Amino acid sequence: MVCARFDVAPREKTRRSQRRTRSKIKIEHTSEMLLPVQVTLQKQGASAPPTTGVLVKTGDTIQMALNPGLLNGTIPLTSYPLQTSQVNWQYREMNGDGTFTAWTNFQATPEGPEYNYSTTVGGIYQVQAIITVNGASETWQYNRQQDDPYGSDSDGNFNPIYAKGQPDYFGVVDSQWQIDVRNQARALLGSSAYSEAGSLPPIYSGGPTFAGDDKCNVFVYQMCNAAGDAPVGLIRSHKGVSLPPLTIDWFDGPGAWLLPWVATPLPIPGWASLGQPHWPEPGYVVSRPAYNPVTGQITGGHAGILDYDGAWINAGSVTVNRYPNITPSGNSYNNPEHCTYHTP
Amino acid sequence: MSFKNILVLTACVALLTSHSAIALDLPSSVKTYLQTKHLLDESGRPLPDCNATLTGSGNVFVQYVLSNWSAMLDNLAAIAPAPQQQKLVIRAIEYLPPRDYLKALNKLCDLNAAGVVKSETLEFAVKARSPENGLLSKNYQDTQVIQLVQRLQALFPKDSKIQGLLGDILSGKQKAVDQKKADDEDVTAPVTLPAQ
Repeated sequence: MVCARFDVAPREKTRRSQRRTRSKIKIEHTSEMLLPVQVTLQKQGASAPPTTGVLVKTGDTIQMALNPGLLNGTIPLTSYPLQTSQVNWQYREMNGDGTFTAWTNFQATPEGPEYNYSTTVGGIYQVQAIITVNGASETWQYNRQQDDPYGSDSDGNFNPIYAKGQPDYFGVVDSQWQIDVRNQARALLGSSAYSEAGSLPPIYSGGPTFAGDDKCNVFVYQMCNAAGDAPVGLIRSHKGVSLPPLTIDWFDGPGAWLLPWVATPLPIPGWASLGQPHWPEPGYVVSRPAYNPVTGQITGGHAGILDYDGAWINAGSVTVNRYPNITPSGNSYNNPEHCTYHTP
Repeated sequence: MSFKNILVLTACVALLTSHSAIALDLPSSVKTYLQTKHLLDESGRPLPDCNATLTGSGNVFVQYVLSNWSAMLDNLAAIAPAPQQQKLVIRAIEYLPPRDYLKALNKLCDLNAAGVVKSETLEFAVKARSPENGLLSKNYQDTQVIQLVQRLQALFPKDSKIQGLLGDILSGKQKAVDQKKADDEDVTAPVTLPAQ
């Protein structure tokens, strides 16, 4: 638990540097006021904040509070030492290139220590609270409460944006299929079933097992079909073998492709490409190309399924993990990324 | 000579020795790339930050390696001591002309024998992905290839898996496997090395 410390006497500037960690929730009234602050979000009706991220459908309500105790009832709102007028809640949305919109107030007027937000637009959002006491303001962002256990790639490189204390997100989807696809993918996090060195059971009777092949596109194909409400067909045929969409089909963008038989991206019936300049949503299929560093030709690519926070749930060379993320994070996954979504 | 002077002299010698080990002065962009990047966890384990216009930091890195690969390998312990840094260099040298690529692999064998390159990293080099995947197997009768593969066999005495692969390369068996894979995927097979 982290406490915000405010002098009772008015001060002219923010005193964020005086934050400190406390082992338990405690409210003290001394010459200074210590506020137990841990911005918390959960879907209305949930018993507790989920450890797998907040993901809701448009129309659902998200409860946000300055402290978990306000949501679970251990701290009555009436005893929390801040008035409605002292707390503003803001959000910003992730763009398709991993940047964000500007911070925007949920409401024109302060919402108070606890606020229920009825979602209206799909997307991936960050949240922060602005607390103002005696003219001094502090910003408290909704942050991760633990290191993401699936935030490392197959080589063990941990993406630092998934560390405890880094900004967390909430995701909003327009349709149930997005939650279903995302949940199917999440269920396989940590699995090595799609490792490049291994083979899969034939994806259909007599079909390929992809032994020794990269399987990121097969992972996407199987997760979408397992969800049941976002089917993907076997759109490719090569040497007499029917195949799922390749990463280039999900990317559906410009570029000189190296292999003649995959030179042109094929349409995926029931799915539509959005390109990059779009607000991404959880459950979308995300993809991008890989380039030959000398010729600039596209030699392959990668595909995954977007999680609530912009992470790609993807089959890496060994494990299914969440290492890549849409946000430019120093991990080289901020090449142009395209999103594809299932059409009703 | 006083004890103090001996200490100063020792320090100077150490400095000179260390200077010779880092004789290659890398451009800052290459240094930064080696310090901050690692191979992507996806098909082909590609180099990060490459693009179609050849302007990415990955494209710049590869161009530098292709022009300075010999000096870089000579100084590998100083400029890329970590396995993940060495793999960036190894992935880049796969774009060398084939004969130079064979020389580079021989240097990696030297570095393995010297303890600079770990066996796992050398194995990574042997299993080149692109564009030289299959170069050794396709040219299994080439004298330089034979000598290189025999060196590799001596460097992996207890690794039955890599010994199997190397044996298959020398026998010509691996050529058929790699050719079939290339045919299945319609990828361009590695070049046939010209006679020396």
